[in-house]
Amino acid sequence: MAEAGPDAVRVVAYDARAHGHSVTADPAREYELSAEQQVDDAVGVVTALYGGGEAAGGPPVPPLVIVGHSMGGAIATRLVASGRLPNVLGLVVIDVVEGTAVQALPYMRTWLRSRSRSFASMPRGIRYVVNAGHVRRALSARISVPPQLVLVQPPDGGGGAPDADAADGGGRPHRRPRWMWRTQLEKSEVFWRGWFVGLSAAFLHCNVAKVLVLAGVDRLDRELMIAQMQGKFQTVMIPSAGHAVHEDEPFATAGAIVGFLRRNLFIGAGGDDGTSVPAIFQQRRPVVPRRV
Amino acid sequence: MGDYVDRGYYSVETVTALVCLKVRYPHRVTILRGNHESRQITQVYGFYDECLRKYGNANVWKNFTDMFDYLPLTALVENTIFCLHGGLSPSIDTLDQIRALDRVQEVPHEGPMCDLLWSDPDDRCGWGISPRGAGYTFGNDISDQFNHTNNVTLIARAHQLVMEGYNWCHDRNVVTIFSAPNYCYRCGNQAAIMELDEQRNYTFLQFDPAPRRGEDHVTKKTPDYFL
Repeated sequence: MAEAGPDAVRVVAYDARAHGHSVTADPAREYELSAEQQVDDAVGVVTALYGGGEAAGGPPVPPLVIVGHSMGGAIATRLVASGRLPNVLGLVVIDVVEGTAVQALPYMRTWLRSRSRSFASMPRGIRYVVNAGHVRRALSARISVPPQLVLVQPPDGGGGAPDADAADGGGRPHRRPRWMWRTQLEKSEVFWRGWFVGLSAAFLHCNVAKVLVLAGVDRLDRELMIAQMQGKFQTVMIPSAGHAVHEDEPFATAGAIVGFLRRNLFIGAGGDDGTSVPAIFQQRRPVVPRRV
Repeated sequence: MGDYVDRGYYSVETVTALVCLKVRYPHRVTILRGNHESRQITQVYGFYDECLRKYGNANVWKNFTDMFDYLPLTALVENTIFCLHGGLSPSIDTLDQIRALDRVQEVPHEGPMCDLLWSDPDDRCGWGISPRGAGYTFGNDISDQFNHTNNVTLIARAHQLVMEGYNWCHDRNVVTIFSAPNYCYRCGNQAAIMELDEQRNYTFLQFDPAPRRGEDHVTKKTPDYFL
């Protein structure tokens, strides 16, 4: 984003519940990953940073553009649709569409089971993610994988996670510390449908400028296809990327987001790349960014 | 009124048929350019891949997209009906300004030529930022002024899916005509054609999709949704 050129954007990126370094005070609530709870969490992050805004008698919350990828895109959409954040101007959703997501759900358990469960070292974990095609760009994986893995000590007595990626075959109990997934996605299965069902309607209901960044044109479901063909939101296709669009094509993704911000006048012109404020808005009449 | 290619399985056949008609009846067929008649859009939305799949190389795509650069952007029927793909542009007040455009080029990202192929009418007055990311939205006041200035009665355009195949707006200053039934084999919309008689009376012919002959043969891969 910084290299893509905007001068006055602050990016706030937090670890979701049960991800990265985030922990819950009550460990029993760690995997409460329902959409509602995650929306609560996001509101909590904004409130902690900027207060409750003018409604709470404080200074105004700065203009917000909410960005999310995959499950995070679903949460971002529901966060904006909830109307609980003040001053939201835009929504950026990266490669998640209700139709395709719900269609993919039955395969998710198999997918999770087929994924290597532990690694002898961090570089091996990173290499696995790249070789398996989850992230196609090694430089990105080197940044994004480390917070996803935690070092787990072998339990006494030799039991423990199998050496899934060991050269001499999986299934053997390990005796040395292993890098394992920080987030046990299996535990979130009960919430999967809730993240995605009704997502397209919620997206269209969001009364802000919207852009949907997709890795492929076949991702759109009927509802979004109709809305797109009616011009209700912007789509940016990045076909050279896989599902981890922003990791596979970070510059194209950042460019799409910055272009979206500039076009909707959330930020100043800054660069000289032709995506500056349209001259018509300076010449003819003042135009406030319109709610869509 | 544009968008002959992309997002179906038969873009090559569709645009070939149109061009053949134009060659056979050059004075009776007018083919306008849509925002999909562009090198950049067709590389993302299917026409490029289709050409590659059917011919094994990109020559057909290259020749067609080179030809697209020559398609006119707008047409005027009997000096009363102004036809184009998208809509009006804040940079354009008169038809002469359109005639003066250097249009033989790839559709640019902004400017009047882009707007004509990307803009949409809107319920709100004035010009607005288009949610599409290209072109503008324009209100009834803009359409009214344009029609008055240029002495036309109607702006006939396409670009937006309408479930009935056609849709009046802006106090009948603008009509949207969408001629692809059940768009992308999933949208469930009717399509329409507008017919004009000698007295310039309009009638709309609505039609449903032809029965499908086969199912999708484009393979879909399952996305990994929890990475």
